[in-house]
Amino acid sequence: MDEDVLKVIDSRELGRRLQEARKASGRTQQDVADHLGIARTTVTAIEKGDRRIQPGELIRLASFFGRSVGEFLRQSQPAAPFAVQLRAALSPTADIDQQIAPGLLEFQRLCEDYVELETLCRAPLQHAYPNPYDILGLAPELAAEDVAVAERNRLGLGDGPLLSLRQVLGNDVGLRIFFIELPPRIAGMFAYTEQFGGCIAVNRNHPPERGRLTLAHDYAHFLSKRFQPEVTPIGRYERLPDHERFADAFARNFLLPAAGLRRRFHELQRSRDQRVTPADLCTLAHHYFVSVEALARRLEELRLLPLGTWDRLAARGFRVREAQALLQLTPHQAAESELPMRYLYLAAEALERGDLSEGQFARFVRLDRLAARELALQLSSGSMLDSDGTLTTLPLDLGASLAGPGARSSA
Amino acid sequence: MSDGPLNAESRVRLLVLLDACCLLNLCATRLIEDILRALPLRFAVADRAAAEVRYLRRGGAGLDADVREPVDSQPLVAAGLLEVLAFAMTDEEASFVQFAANIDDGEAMTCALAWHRQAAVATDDLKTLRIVRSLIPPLPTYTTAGLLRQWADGQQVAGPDLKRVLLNIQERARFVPGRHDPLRSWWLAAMREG
Repeated sequence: MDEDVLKVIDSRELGRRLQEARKASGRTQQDVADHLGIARTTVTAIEKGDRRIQPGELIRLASFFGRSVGEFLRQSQPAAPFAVQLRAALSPTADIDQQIAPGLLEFQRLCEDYVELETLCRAPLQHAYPNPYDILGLAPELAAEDVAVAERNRLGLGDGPLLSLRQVLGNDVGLRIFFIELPPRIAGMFAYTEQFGGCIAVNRNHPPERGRLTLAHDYAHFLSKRFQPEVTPIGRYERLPDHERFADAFARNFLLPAAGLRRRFHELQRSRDQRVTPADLCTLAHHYFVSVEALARRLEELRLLPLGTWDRLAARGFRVREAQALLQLTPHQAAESELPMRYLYLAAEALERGDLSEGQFARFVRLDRLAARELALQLSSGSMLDSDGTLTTLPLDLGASLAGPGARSSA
Repeated sequence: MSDGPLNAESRVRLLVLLDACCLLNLCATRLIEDILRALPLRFAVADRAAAEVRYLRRGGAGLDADVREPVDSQPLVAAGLLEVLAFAMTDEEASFVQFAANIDDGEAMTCALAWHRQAAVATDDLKTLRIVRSLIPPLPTYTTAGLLRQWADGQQVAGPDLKRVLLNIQERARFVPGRHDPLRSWWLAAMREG
């Protein structure tokens, strides 16, 4: 067996992970001390890395926190603890601090897992990050419009609907994007570190349209103030600060670009003899994959609808879901998956090569054993034997070189 | 020792620690009691590995093929065919932590207990197999296909009966031996010929 892992591991890093797990589980150092039957000062020393933890203590603590032992022993580079920065960014709304702690830790763990998979598969995430946009001293709404146009141009998105927002920001920009469990009052959060790059977590329980707005909002934070982590609560501010006004306006401009929206709206008006109906709003909102409210307010902002149109519709009891059902507007997709597709493919590749065990794979993809097997089958081959013994699909070797048999390594 | 015929006259049956993946597969056969009883081995499972084996699919061709059916290993324990093991000494805990740095907890506990109790490990997991085979001395290993082949040969189970068992594993536990498994061709042949 290898050298004693508890003797060679960075005890400060291990202590930090234990402390984070303790906080995420809502337990105090005294709780831990009582559970292990040791003094609280010893727990402090373990968390500081001043006292090496014993194997039995680590096993009992992992169980106490509902974690696997392996999570505390990972060999990856120590992570910049952005969960701590995010918690600080949330201040002074301390009432939800404890509720969000598990989400913060899960966000950080997902980023660590993603990087670990990339290391295992030797496939680092490619970044196409622009230089941060300097918006200091500019009117937030005007700056947001300029930045949204610039980003759409940079990414070759034109001025039409952007249905694959997550894929564009994940694959083309190189952000790490997760849809995770967060308290209802938290829309999402953003963090950036040298190690992880830009990372965004979106509340998976919010409607998909709202999730897209959150994603675009947090992308604005990445574009303007990437070194400042942000938690985006709902209804936190009585008066929005400039950076939040910028992020909100950017999201509207990015998802509903003025030029394209004006053109489509004018075409709609011409075809309707200037009489645009609530049904048209529903259809157009579906076309852009945004909420009807977001579309209506954007049209008001562009002076294409009279101010107060949405408020009047809402006051009259306009029921969006019923209208969408009547119009047979099928949802674009089921809820976003928690993990990016690239993450899942990397995990499947690592399993196929034997770089991850089946149990580790299940933990990385956040599934139980059988569901993880089903996912691995789906991702890596999809092959099963028919009852007549025929192997029906060709296994896909995710780790194979595509350079061809005659190609020489560039190394 | 590895997959292959055992000395049936052996007075002390070798203890085999089933990893979660193997236990899941054997439970899917619907014949696990017969299989464990027929093989000249003793079987155990680490409590952490047993906790990972929660349910199987119903299988079959019906509309309810994907319905979950809970796995209950208690009847196997009651029948004396399977023992659920916990850590018995601190050395086992220390070894578990060593293994857990590279594989998941259930797999790590299986390996640690096998290491200290002179037992074999039954697993289909490529990474776990690599680890236990690289130990000095290496631990004896079994795979699902290895255990099933030994059972089928010993009990003269073949044709449609064997195919039904393998198909149950495929449908209910979503498992087919991987390309690294030397008995994959045996499995595929049994499916074709059954």
